[in-house]
Formats: sequence, structure tokens, C-alpha cells
Amino acid sequence: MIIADSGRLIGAARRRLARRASPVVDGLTRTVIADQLGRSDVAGLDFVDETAEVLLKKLTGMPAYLALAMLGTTVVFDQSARVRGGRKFRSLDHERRMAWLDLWRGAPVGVFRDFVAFYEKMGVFVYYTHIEEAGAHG
Amino acid sequence: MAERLDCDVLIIGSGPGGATTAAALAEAGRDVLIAEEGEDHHVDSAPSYSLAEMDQKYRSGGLTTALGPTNITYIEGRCVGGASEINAGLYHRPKAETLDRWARDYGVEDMSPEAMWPWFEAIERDMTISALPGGVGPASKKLAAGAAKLGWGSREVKRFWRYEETTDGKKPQRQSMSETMIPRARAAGARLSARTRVRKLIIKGGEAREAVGIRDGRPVRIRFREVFVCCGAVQTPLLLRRSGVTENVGNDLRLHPMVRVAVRFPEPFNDPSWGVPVQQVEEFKPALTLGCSHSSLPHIALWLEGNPQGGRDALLHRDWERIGIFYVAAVAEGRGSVRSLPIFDDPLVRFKMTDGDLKLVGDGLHKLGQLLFAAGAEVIFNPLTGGPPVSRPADLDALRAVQQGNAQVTTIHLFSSCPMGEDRGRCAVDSYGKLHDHKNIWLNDASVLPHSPGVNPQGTIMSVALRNAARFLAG
Repeated sequence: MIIADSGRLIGAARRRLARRASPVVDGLTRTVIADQLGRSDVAGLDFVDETAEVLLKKLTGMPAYLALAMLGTTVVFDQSARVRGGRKFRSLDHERRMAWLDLWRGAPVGVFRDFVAFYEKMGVFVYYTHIEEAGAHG
Repeated sequence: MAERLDCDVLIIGSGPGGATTAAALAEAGRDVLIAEEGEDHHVDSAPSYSLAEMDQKYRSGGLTTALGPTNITYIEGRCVGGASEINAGLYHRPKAETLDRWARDYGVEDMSPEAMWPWFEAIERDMTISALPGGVGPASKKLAAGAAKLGWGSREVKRFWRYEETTDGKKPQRQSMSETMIPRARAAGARLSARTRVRKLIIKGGEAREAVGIRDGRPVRIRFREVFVCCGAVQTPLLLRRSGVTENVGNDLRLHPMVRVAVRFPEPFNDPSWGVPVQQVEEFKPALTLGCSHSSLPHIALWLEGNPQGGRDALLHRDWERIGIFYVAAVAEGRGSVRSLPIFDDPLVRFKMTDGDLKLVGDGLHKLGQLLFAAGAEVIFNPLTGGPPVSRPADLDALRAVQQGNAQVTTIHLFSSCPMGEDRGRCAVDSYGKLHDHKNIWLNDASVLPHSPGVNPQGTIMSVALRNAARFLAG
């Protein structure tokens, strides 16, 4: 009974955090893909929304303690951008988003670096999966 | 009200260890029930190494991590057939010296090469193990050419794969557990219950009485006389620890850390249909394996990401046919642990690579670089964080600078979390997989291998499982 209850509580916490993190995941995905393509935005590009959806699904499907940590860090990443940029990460322009990402990428704390690496690696993997499936490369 | 099931022998897990055990026991006339947590997908239900396959057949969609100074992403199959449904199916026997060392260091009886080879021969007879019918692919040729120039031995590794003659030529068929041992077990009367997660064994007085878990989302209780836990090197110790069994359980996790490298050649050689390259360098085994990897566009993008060379997308679109992915896999001396957590279902997995492991991987990357330049490589995209691309042999020392956290390390080879042997100070089970101090609990999967086999482990897991099943049947 206790296990079942804790499972339900963790599930509820995960869903709640996922809802809060969703727009940030979307913003991070757009930033990572734009950077990969050497652009300042992703307007007009296919598969960006789909990539963000898959990333959110992947995050929520991680082992629960990792999912909670990653989703929580995603929310913190968004909010803490106010300190430097005056706005949440998702409200910054591409240049400032990249500066905020660079700061985390070079942080002395490994968790921050791993956080950025997750979005960059999974972002490009999922994006190019869609590109490959559509036969849109080469 | 929980659903109730009964059987003579419950086998938890349907990967190479569980499926081999199930076939052996069912064919000997035992009443076998296989409980598998994952779904029963067809072997070809998703393209190999694709996002769809990760979602269908990998635990947590493939995002499971052993935490430590260097986090290691590991993969577990979670479907009928387990890891055999998603791995490359490469078949090896371990080196004789490896078996001798296990026998000596862990006190494992009947583990000498002479005692073990007949079990490997049995698996080789039972399973179809084939070379590629049309010869090796382009990445394998690069690896073979580089090795030959340096005077290093390399060979095509045969796979658990079958090629059927059809009117359209030879049709490849993966010889995974869902295609081989599971049908054999079922034909002999075994029952398979997919989507059945055993969460805990009820153990009293050293005897397991019942398994409790979830089947199709509803509570289930399974009664049995004997139980084989075959959930793999992570889930087996998790289940045991959750059931109150902790002695030498989950303390000695071993793995083969693997680092991948994207490499560009002057001429196009990549092709979306090239599948899994099968060539490996033999020269440095078992300590180091050098090989080539699946190299589709998404995988190249993944392993190029983080490389400081600008214009990554342009690079991909312009050059992907000239890029392949190669790897170094090492036998780590470091070890890890598997622990259950109070309120979470998932295990906490930790692993610490030692300074020696980092040096070994660095040496491996250096050797791989030598080989690739010998094979004509143009640029090696440095896999170490912030490391510049290497475009001439004189700069290869940059690849030696492996430190904690500066390389993306992955593994699909995990074992030894419940090692077998008579050394009661370090072994969870006896020389044949029976849990020490328990009457009717057996382990028969990667968790019982005493240490790293130094080669792709599926053949060893199946051979040990067959041996242990025979011992069980002999009473």
C-alpha cells in the first residue's frame, strides 16, 4: 500500500513537473537545433515541434529520480536566466539563450554540464531521426 | 484481489539467460512459467538502433545511467527476449585465460576451459551463428585494412544470425531469444507471461514461497517450487535486494566502458543499409576491443555533437557519407553497485572508473587513431570534451587525455553484480548459480559471471546458463 501510494505521488509529481517544464523543453530544443544548423531561429523548419515532444517524452520516461531531477533542473534553468538576462530563458533572444547555455556548458558543476549535453545530444539525435525518416538528407 | 498463478519453476526474465534456462527445463519436462516485464514484440517490429526501437524495447527508452565521476549511459532490453532483441548478436567464446581466472579468483568449480567448452559447443550447435554472406561492409574493411597495415590481428565476428535462401536472395533473420529459445520452451510446454513485473519474492526461512508483482496493470501472486531470477545485471540484484537478500548482491557490478569516435575519410563509404559492422581488432583483447559501430545519420549527429568544429549541420549534410563511427571498449578494473531506493521503483546504479580505466581507454583511443590513419582517415573528431579534431598522426596523443567526465561513455555489457563461486566472502551464488544459504533460488544471467568476459557476453551468458540448468536438473 505504501509503495503504491508513493508510486502515485511520484507519478503525480512527475506529471506536474513535466507540464511546467514543457515550454522550457520546447525553447531548449529550438535553441539547440538552431545552433546545430548555424541559424538564429528555426522558423519554417520541419520536425522541430516533433523533436521537442519526443524530448519531453524521453525526459518523463527516465528512471523516476532522474526524471524528477532533470525536469526540476529544466525549470530552474529557465527561471535562473533572469539573474543574467532579466528574463526567463524561453523569453530570451537566440544570442542570449546561447550565452546562458554556454554558461551552463562550462560550469564547474558536472550536473549542469550533463544537463546541457543531454539536450544537445538527444536534440540532434531525435531531430536527425526525423530528417532521416523523411528522406530529407543527403 | 490479486490474480494467482502456479508453476513448478518460475523464471523471471526472458533474455539470453532466462530463455536458455526455460528451454532446457521445459524440454526436460518441468512445468515452467516465464514472467517477462516487457512486451512481446516481433523481432523486426522496429528498425535496429532507431528511436522507435528504443521506445519499444529499451528500459526507460534507453536513458538509464550509472552515476559516478564519469556517468555511464547503459542499455537494458525490456521486452520478450531481452537484450538479444536489440544487440548486435556478436558471438564469442571468452579467452581460456579468462575462465581460468574466474575459477581461481572466485573459486568457481567446473569453470576451466575444458569443462566449459562443451557448453559453448552446445550453444553453437543449438543456435545459428553466421558470417555475413556477402562479405563484410565498408567500415569493417577500413578497420581490417588499418589493422593489417599495422600488423595487428583482426577478424569478422560471427553473429547469432541466420540467412534464408529466398527468390530475392539471402534474407537475414536475427536469432534472438524470441526466435529461438522462447519458441523452443513454449513448444515444450512452457508458459510465457509478458507484461508481468515481479517486484518482490516472499522469502521465509531461506526459501522463496511466492512472487508478487503486477501483470497487465493488476496485482499478481505467483506460487512455485523453484525460482530462477534472470533479469540481468541490474534488475536481478534490484529484485533480490528488494526481497531482503543483500549478501554480496549488487556490490560488484562490472561493465565494458565504450567510447565512440566519429571519423571522416576522403571518399564516401557510408551507406544507410550497411547495418552493424562486424570486424574487431583481436590484438589487444581481452583488455581492449577496437571495432566499428552503427553509423546512420542520427548516430553520426549524436557523436559529432559537442565537437568544437563549427558548421556541424553543413558537415553532416556535406560529409556524412564519408563519416563512420568506431569504438574502443575496455575491461574496466573499476566496479559499481546496484541499490534499491526506498520510494522509487528504479535502482540506483553507480560505477566508478579508476585512473587505470581512464588510461586504458585513452590508450585504446590512441591505438584506434593509429589504425584509422593507417586506413586512410582524414579527420578524427576528438570525442573528449573540448578536444580539437585530430587530422594527423603526430597529434594523436590528444586522444590519450581521458579524464573523469570528459568523454561520453556508454555500455550495453553489464555483469557480475551477483558473482558465482565458492568464495563466500565475495560470491552471492554457488558455482552453479544457486543463491548461497537459500533452498530454492537460482540466478542464471549476466549477474553471475564472476567478472568481465572481455568479449561480447551473450554466448558466455547462454553457455553458463545451459551448464547451470543441467546441474539443476541433475539435482
